Amino acid sequence: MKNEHELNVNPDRVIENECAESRMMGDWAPEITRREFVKAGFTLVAVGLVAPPWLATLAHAETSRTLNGLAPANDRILVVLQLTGGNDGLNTVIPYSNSSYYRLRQNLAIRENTVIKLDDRVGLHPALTGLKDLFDQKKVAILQGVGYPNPNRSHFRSMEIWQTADPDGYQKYGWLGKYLDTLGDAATNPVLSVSLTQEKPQALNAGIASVPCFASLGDLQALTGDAALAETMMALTHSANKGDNPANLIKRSTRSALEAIEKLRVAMRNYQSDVTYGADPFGRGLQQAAQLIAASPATKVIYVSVNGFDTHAAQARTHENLLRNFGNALKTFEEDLAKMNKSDKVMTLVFSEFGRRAAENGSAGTDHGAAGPMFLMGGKVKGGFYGDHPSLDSLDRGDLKYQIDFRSVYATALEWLGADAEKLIGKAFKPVNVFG
Amino acid sequence: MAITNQEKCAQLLRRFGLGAPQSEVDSAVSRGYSETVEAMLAFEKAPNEIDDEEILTILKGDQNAIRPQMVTTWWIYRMLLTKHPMQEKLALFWHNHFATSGSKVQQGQLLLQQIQMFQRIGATNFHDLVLEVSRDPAMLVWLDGVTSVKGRPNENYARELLELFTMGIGNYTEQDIKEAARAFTGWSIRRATGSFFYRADQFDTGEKTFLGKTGNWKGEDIVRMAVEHPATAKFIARKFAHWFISDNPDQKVIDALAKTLVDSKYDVKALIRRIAHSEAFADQKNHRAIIKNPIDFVIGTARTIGMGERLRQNQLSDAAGQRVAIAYLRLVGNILRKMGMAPLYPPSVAGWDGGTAWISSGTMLERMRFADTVMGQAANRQRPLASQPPLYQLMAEARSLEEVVEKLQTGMDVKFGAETKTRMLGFLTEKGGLSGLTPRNPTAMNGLLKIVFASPEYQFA
Repeated sequence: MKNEHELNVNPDRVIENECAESRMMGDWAPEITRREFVKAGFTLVAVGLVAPPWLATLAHAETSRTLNGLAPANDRILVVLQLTGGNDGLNTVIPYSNSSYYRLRQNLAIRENTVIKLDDRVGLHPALTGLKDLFDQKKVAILQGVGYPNPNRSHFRSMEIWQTADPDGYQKYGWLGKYLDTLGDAATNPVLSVSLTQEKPQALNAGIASVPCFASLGDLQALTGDAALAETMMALTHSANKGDNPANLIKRSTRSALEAIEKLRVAMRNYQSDVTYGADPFGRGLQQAAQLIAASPATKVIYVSVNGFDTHAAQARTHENLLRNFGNALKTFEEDLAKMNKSDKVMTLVFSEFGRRAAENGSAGTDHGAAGPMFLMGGKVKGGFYGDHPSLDSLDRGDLKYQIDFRSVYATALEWLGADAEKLIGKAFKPVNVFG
Repeated sequence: MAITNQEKCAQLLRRFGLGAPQSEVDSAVSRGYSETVEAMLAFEKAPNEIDDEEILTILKGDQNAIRPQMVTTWWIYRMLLTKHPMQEKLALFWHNHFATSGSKVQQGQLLLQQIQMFQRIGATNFHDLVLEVSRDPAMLVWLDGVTSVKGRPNENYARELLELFTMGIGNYTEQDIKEAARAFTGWSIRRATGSFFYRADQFDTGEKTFLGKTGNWKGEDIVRMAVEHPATAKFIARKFAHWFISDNPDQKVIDALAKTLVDSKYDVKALIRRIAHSEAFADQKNHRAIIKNPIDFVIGTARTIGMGERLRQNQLSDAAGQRVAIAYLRLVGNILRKMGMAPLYPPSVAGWDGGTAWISSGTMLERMRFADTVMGQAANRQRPLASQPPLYQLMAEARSLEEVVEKLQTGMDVKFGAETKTRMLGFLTEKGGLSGLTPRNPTAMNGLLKIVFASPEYQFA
């Protein structure tokens, strides 16, 4: 008895065997939109045999979603950009007309004549020319003083709080993972969300959805041209069920890698852009996000993370470089999206786990603080300021007090995606009215 | 239910060492479990057969200074060759605990000193270790101690000392951090010599209130009070339990280890003995219950299938031997980086997350791709240390495909479930059966290895 599975009649398995052959036959359909999936769903499931497994299952999920009377997911995309380490918000969005700022930041204050002034009170760090252009185009919302009650100043706990949207508890699933789980194709779409990180951020922890993480899309090269091996790998990972035990996780990760590669590699091949990104982590990250958006219509959430914001000493130069790359990459990304006619379909959310202490420390750096600015960018975003700059004269143990709860911003993002924010966050937070 | 003595010996060599070929497991069994534990712990007494200077000189080439990446490569070399794997495993444990990165500490010499310090005193006393770390030049640069002076304390080290190195979050206040930071003012380094330097005139001599006690505390006092805080023993015990017992250790196991740590006045060796001889360590439910980190996976595999030994036999005295070693080490360094664990480049001061965080679609892909490194296919022309002999030798006497799988299990220190075995047999049959498994047809062996490296069973130590 060589292979017990082959003795059973397992329709999925049959489709898979056929699909392994279709893979060998070369490239399948170059690209297909979500709407076409839905339209083609019945046919594809019936025909089944020519579609690669991810497509067959995807079409099947869309079909059953329609049959169950659920609206199809909207065609909007959320890009999350994480500034890891705690960005110094006070030197990002600067209250340049406030003398307290210069008193608190004797070495680190950005001189008033170099601040990029946005109104008569607040301006941007001089390195943020890219962001300024977006602001002028009214494509970026600057949300001031975002935080939560009793802020935690540990990088790790604080990141956990942001990623689970739960300052009081220790939830297993992330705020985006919970959203992905509500989608009809959560279990079957291998590229519903892609994280351009080595490890999966907790925000994308889901019960059903499996999120592939690639440190670089350059890793999407074929594992092997060996069909027997590909078939064996698929079969080996086929028995993974929804359980959370590590063996299932291992199988699901392998499988989502294989399926995502299969899907994305072909799609990416034809991607070309005449927009030039910087060769820094922001540029590389957002360029890959643009590639995914251009090539993979089944992808709803893309996650990018850039390190280096933990600036305790000699902050000025480091922070300047980070902000320059950040602003320029955002601007290039928006240009790229506009060229591919996706600007109105994509919103980018920028966050950091905390801001820095209002006063600089003795090392020309800043220690861990609390509230800080967030940014929302996109063609549908009504640019401008949301909320006032936090007061520098009424600090909480040396930290800026928050005015907008970050969960309100999440509610905005979930609203963008067409999700039930209150249900996902577990509490009602009024979305920030950035869509005008 | 307890595991067999054979399984326990293999587990000891996997977890407290860096994996071992079957022959070493066999000699551990015949020597006896307790004796093996003691022999592993006695590494300080045995001579070190690796010449650090020699390999560092080769890595340095015509460069003036040691760069951080060279320290990574040097350490990989040691891990692959060492006859005292516990020394390296503990150094790695402490590097993960007191994680310091070359991304900020760009002087390789300082990083080298820090890792050598872990190698030297990693199995001694936790209190001494924290004190050494607090004065360690690489750490002082990494967490900004060098800039912390009277009237202008930098909180970075104080915060991580309390949060990550000793007590753990929730056992101190923000005010404790500020006061502790004052006690570390003046702790600095001499740039020229890369050594610790106490700037007495920059020390804040005022009274500080730390953990409810007021006094003219110095950095040494903060270290002592933090180490002696009851939360610290539990925090450290939990970390040891995670690394050496299970990804999900029982609380009562952790509590018992914490008690050992306190009773022994923070003796690391006492803690290791307690773990190695605990019921939990031998419990079936904790057998193969830790997800291998990339170093366990890559270095462990290389040592288990005899590639570490082959590298040892390679001559560093001639240019060809040096080229082979460097090419191979770079290959290994590269795959470790892609799997997410380049030594000296932890993602943050919290080290690597561990457990299921090692498993993502990207890292599983790299685990599969490790087959190319093992088969020499990832190294373009050089094919350094291609594994053909060790692996094919393993298969040589097999008379059936089932026997191939059996030998693979023994030779690679893994136990496959029925499903994996079935799939392997199916794959091998398609590849021409026994006669397909020859060096002339490396794709069969490469594919087989990819299946091994992707299998759930192989991910566990």
